[in-house]
Amino acid sequence: MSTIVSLPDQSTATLPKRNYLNNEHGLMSWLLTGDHKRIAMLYLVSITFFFFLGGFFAGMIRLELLTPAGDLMAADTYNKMFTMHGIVMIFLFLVPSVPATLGNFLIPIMIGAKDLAFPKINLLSWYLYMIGGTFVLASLVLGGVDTGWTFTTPLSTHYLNTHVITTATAIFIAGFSSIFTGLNFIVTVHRMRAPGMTWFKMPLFVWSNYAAAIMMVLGTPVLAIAITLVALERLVGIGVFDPAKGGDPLLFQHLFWFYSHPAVYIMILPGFGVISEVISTFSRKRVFGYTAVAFSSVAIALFGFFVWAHHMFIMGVSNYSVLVFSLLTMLVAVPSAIKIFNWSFTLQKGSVTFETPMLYAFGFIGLFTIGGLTGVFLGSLGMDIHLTETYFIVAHFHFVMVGGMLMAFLAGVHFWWPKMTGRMYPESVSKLAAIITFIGFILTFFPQFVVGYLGMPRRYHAYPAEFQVLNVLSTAGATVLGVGYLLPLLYLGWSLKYGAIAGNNPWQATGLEWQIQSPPLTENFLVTPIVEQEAYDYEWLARKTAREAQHVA
Amino acid sequence: MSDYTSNRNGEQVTSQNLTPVTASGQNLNAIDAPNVNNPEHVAHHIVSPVMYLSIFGVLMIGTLATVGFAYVPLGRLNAPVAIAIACTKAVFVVLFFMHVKYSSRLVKLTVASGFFTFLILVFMSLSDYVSRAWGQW
Amino acid sequence: MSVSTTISELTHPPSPEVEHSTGVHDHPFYQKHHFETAEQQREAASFGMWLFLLTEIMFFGGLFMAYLLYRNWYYDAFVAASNTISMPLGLINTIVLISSSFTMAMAVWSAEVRNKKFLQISLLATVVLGFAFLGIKTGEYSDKFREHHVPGAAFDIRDFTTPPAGSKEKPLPIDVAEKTQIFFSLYFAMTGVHAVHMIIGIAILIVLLWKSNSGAYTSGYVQPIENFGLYWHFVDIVWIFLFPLLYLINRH
Repeated sequence: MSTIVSLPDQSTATLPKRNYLNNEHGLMSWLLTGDHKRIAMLYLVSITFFFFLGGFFAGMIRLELLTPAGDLMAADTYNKMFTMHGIVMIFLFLVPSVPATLGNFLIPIMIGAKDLAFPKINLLSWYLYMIGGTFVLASLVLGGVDTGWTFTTPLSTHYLNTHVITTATAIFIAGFSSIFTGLNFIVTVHRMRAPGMTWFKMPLFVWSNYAAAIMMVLGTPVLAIAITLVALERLVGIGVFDPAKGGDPLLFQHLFWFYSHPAVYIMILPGFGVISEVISTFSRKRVFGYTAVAFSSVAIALFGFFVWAHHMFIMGVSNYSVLVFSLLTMLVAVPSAIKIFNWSFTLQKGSVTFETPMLYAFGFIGLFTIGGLTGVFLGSLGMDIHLTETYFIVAHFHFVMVGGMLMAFLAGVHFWWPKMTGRMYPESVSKLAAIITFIGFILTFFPQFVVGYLGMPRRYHAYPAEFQVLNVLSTAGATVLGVGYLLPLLYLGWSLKYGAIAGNNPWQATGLEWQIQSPPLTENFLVTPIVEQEAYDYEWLARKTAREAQHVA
Repeated sequence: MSDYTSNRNGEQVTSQNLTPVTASGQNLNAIDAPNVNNPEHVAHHIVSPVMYLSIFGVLMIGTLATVGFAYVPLGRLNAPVAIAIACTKAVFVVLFFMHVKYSSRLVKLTVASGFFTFLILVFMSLSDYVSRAWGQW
Repeated sequence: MSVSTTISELTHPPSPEVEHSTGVHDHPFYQKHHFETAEQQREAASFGMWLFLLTEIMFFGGLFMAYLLYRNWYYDAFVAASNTISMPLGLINTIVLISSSFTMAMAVWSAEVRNKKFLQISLLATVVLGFAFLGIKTGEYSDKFREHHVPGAAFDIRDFTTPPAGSKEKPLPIDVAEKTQIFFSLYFAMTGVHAVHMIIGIAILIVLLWKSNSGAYTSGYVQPIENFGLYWHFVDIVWIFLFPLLYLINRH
C-alpha cells in the first residue's frame, strides 16, 4: 500500500511494475499528458536538441577563430553564427534548462504534491517552447539573423535585412513559455505543499526555483514589449526607438536589460538549487546556514532588478546613474558569496564522497566563483570601460553560464537520473566525462580572459595575428568540451536500457523525492505525505531506513 | 451589509453555502483541513450588487472629474491631478471589482509587488534620463 | 480517502447530477484530482490569475515607461498631437468600458449566487459593451488614417506646422512637429495592445457565454468567471490610465 518502502540493499532492487513511464503508452499519451514528470521529460529531450544545435554554432565560431584571417566564412555569416548561438543557448537552453526539466519533475514531489497547480498550463508552456523553437529554426532556414542576441537598436531596426521579426516572434513566444513555467511554480509552492511542509522545511532546490520563478514572471513581459516594439518598428515604422523620429535607442536597452539581466539569475538560481542538494547529499550533512542560503536566493531575485544598467556603461548612460548602478551591482555579490561560503562550510567535516554529481558540483563552485568575481571586476566602472565588448566579457559570462549553470545542470541530471529513469548511469565513464568537461572548459575559456584583457574585441570574425596562440588553445579546448558533452548523451542513452536498477534511494538522500519509488508513480504519492522532518535531516533518514529494514526482515 | 445577499428565490445565500460539500452534505474543507489550513487562506467573500453599483458610481464621477480638471488650467498640476484621479479609480477597481479587499494577504502582496516592480523600472530608468541633463527636466 | 482519478475536464464539465449519482468520490465535479479540496483549487486558480496579471502590469509597464520619457522630452508635440484625437469619443469609450467592468462584476456575482439567467445577461452585456468599445476605437483609428497621423511612411506633419483653419492650435516649428510622430507611435502601440487584449477578452467571453448554457458556472464552479473577471477589470484599469494620459494632456 505505502510507496514509502526503501529497500535496504540496492542489489536486490527491481524496477517497479507501475510507474509514470509505463502508465500509458503511445505518442499521444506523451503529447497530451498533464503529468509534470512526462512534461519534464519532453522538455529534457527538446532542450538537449537545442543545446547541441547551439553547440554546433559555437563549434563553427571556434573553428573560424582558429586562424586570424576570416577564412572559413563570410563576415555576416559569422555574425549569424554567434547570434544564433546566443539566441538558441539563452532562450532555448539556459532559461528553461533546470526549471523546466528538473524543476518540473521535482518541485511537486519535493513538496509532497501530486502535480503542479496547473498541469494544462504546464503542457501549454512546453508547446509554446516548441513553437518558439520552431520559429528560431524557421529564421535559421530562411537565412538567419545577425543582430546579436541583444537585438540592439537601431542596428536591429534599421540597418539589417535579416529575419529579425521571425526571431523576435520566437523570443516572444518562448518568453510566454517561461512565464507560464514560473507562474506554475509560484502557485505550486504557495498552494500545493503537503501538510507539515512549511517554508523552512522545503529543500533549497525549491527555494531557488521559486526565486527564479518570481523573476520569470516579473521580468519576461518587459522583454516581450521591448521586442514587440522592435518588430512594430520594422513592420509599420512606429518610431519609439528611432532617433530619426525623436526616439531613444537607449530606451530599448533599458527595457531589454531590465529583463535580460534578471535573466542571468533566472538561469543561474535553479543551478544554485541543484548544487545545494548535491553538496548536502554527498557530504551527508545538512546545508550549512540553510536559512541564509534560502534567503540569499530571494535576495538575488530582488537585487537582480536593480542592476541592469551595468550592461550599458559605455552606451551613453549618464555618469551619475553609472555610479548608482555600479554600486548596486556590488550588492549582488553578497548573496552569491553567502551561497559559496555556505556550501564550503557544508563540506567541512562532512563525509564527502566523489560521485559524478559531486564532481560537477565541485566544478561548479570553482568556475562559478571565478565567473562571479570577474563579474565584480566588470561591475566596477573603471574596469568595465576597459573590458566591455572584449573577450573578457565573453569569458566572464561563459564561466557563469557554462562553467556554472551547465555544470549544475549536468550535476542535476546525473543526480536525479536514477529517479527519473529508475536506472543508474555508468559511474566510471561519467566521472571521466565530468573531468573532461572541466578540463575542456578551462582550456576553452580561460585563454579568453587573457585575450580579452589584451584587447581582442568580441563579435569579430578576424583578429590580429598576435592573439592566435590563445585562440588556438581556446578552440582546442572547445573540441575537448564537445567530447565532454557528447559522452553523457551517449552513456545516459545507453543506461536507459542497460543501466543498473537504481532502487528508491541510491544516494541515501533525504528529499521526499527519494522516499518514493523510482521512477515515480504518475500520482507521485499514494497517500499524501505528512512532513515532520526538517530538510536534509540525515538522522531522520537513518532512523527511517532502520525501521524499514526491520519491517522487511 | 455585503457579507451575504439573496438569490432569486429570496433565500439568503452566504459564502457558507458555497463551500464544497460531499454528496452526503459533509463539508469537504473539514475533511481536508490540513491542506487549506494555512495563514494565506481566506474564506470566499461575495461582494453585493449594491457595492458594485456604488463603485460604478465612483468610477463615473472620477471619469467626469478627470475630464473636468483637464479643462481647468492648473499649470504643472494638471498631470499630477489626472494621475491621482486615475490611481484612485484603479484602486477602487482593484479593491472591489477585483475583490482584493476581501482576498488573502498573499494576493495583496502580489498586487503590491507588481506595482513595486513597475516603479523600479520607471525610477531606475528615469534616474538615467534625469541625470543625463540635470535641471533641464 | 478515495484516490479515484476522475479528472473533470475544464472543456467538458460533466453535469453535477451524473457525478453525484456515481457516489464513488466526494469531490465537487469541477475539482481536479491533484488538489486536495475545491477551496485549495479555487485559491490556486485565483492566485495564478493574479500572477498572470502581474506579467500584464509589466508588459504595459514598458509602454508606460516609454510614454513617461517622451512626454517629458517632447511636451509641446504631445500636447498638440493629443488635442487632435477626439476627447468625446475617448470619454464615451471610458464610460463604455467602465460599464462593461460593472456588468462583468455582476456576472461574477450571478455565478456566485448561482443565477444562470442573470449570469448570461451580464456576460452578454459585457460582450456588447466590448464590441461597442472596439467599434468606437475603429472609428477613431480610421480618422487618424484619413488625417495621415499614423506613424510610418504616410505620416504627415502638415496639420501641426500649419493648423487647419478654425483650429485653436498654434503652428509648431518643424522639428517640434516631427516629434508628434512619437506620440502617435505610442498612441497606436498602447491603444493597439489594449485593443488586442479586448479582442482576446471578447473571444473568451463568448466561449464562457456558450458554456454557461450547461449551467456549469452556476452550480458552484465560479472560478472561470471570477478569473476572467480579473482579466477584464485589469484591461479596464489600463484604459483608466490611458484615457487621461493620451486624450487629456492639455485640453485648455
